[in-house]
Amino acid sequence: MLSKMLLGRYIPGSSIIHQLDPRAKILAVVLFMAIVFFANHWTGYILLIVFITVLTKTADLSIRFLFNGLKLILILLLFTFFMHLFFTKGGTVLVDGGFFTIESEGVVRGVYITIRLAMLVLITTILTLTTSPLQLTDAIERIAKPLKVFKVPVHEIALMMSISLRFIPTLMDETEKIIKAQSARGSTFMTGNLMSRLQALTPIFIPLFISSFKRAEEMAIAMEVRGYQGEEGRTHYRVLNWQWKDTFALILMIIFGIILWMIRQ
Amino acid sequence: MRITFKNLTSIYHQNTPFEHLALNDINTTFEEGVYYGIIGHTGSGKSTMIQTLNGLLLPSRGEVHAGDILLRRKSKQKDIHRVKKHVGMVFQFPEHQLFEETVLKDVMFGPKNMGMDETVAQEKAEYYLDLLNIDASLFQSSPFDLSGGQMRKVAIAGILAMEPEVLILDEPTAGLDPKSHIETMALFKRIHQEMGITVILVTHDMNDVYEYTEYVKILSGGHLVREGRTTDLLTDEKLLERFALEPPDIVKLTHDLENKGIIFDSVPRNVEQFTELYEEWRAGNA
Repeated sequence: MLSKMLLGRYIPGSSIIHQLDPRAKILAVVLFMAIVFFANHWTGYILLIVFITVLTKTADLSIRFLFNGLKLILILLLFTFFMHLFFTKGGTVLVDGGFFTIESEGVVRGVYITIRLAMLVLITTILTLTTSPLQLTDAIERIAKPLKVFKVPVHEIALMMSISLRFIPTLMDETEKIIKAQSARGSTFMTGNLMSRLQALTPIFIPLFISSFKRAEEMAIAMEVRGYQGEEGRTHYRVLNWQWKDTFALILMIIFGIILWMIRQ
Repeated sequence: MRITFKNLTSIYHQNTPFEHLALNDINTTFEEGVYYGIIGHTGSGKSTMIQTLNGLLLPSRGEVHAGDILLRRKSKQKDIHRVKKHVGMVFQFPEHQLFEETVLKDVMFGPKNMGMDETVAQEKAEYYLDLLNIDASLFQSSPFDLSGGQMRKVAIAGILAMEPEVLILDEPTAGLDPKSHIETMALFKRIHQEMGITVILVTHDMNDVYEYTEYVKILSGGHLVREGRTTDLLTDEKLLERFALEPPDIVKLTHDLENKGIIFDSVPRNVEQFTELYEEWRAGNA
């Protein structure tokens, strides 16, 4: 059940996308998020889809696998699509069902917005699939460094992020174990009405909370024992190394943005 | 209850890049009332096997026959629930599953899920807590106020109170002190003998497997590579070495002594038997 989660998962690999500097990847994703909104015509949207497909192939990911990950937000996508389908007016009337009408503009907007959303989700999925959580937090810490001037505790925030990311798989494993242990005791989560299903969660959450608190305390002690005092005087074990190919990747993304801007109508 | 695996194959994360074949075409039977051991190196498929035994995992291919219940890839929740009633499972570190306000309530959780009414469940809970030497004065206290060893016992009582016909033990003594270790293993032995239930022990502790189990199944890389009498398989050091398993201490000692010319009439299974055999040998050779 939990194994189907694709969000926030990292697949090790050696593709060019894997090897890019995580800072370059994050910046490129941010750029792409803006670029997506340049497209306002079907040629633009086709270009976006081609771009993501090429990117997926370059990152050595299977397209089918990526689309399986999209299933998670399928409901959101469908919802967006149907909202536009029914409520965006304009163009010719395609269906007139009396109390509702579907108009051509609604269909077009619905398809466009859904593609936009899907592209946004896909590119962030590609980012997390090809970048280890540690690299991601390192990159975020480096990118956010200038904020220190405004007394933002960048290092501490990055540490919190990496600790949380580090414990997601552990918590998942633990949840799965406890679910198994309780269901071996005859607890049922899949049957019964909403109320009894909610009640069935107590035997899972209480042990989970208890072990999380215990783990947090143990970790705090372990860090203190090893003399952790925040950022002061710390060097980095993993040093990020910006290379020409990272610059090149960003330039490519900008060129792609310019092309999309040019074909706007 | 007899449990049979027929051409059982288990695959994790099927059709994803994380696909992993955990069990490969297993055919075997767990007879009623026998004390089994399942051994194998880490990642050999032991935990997949025991989770398949009580319906926590369904086979990807093949069948599990548990008594008259058939489990397959697409079995119904109702059948799975029925299997759980007959096959109890003590997980590794079972104390992590405690959640109720009081010790008594926690032990009653399983029996009540299995359809016993409040009074019967309470009777069972009290009986098994007593069997595990948990003092009646602790029944109303929070399970989280107990010591680690006591928590483990309460959790085990929670499984026993469901009165399963088959009891699966996954590393039941991990992290226990030597005294509790012996007590716990002795208790399972007693339950096995007095109530005639099937016990399936999964552990890395070869000494326990050798001392307590009657039959063993050896897993390696998802295959069932050997099954047979414990006394036959675990005394075969060459065989164990092939599957990266450590022979039990007492077997190693007996074999070393044999090389030095001290030969016993039989291979001892625990320290007491060893001492006895050694005394006998001394009386005959001194």
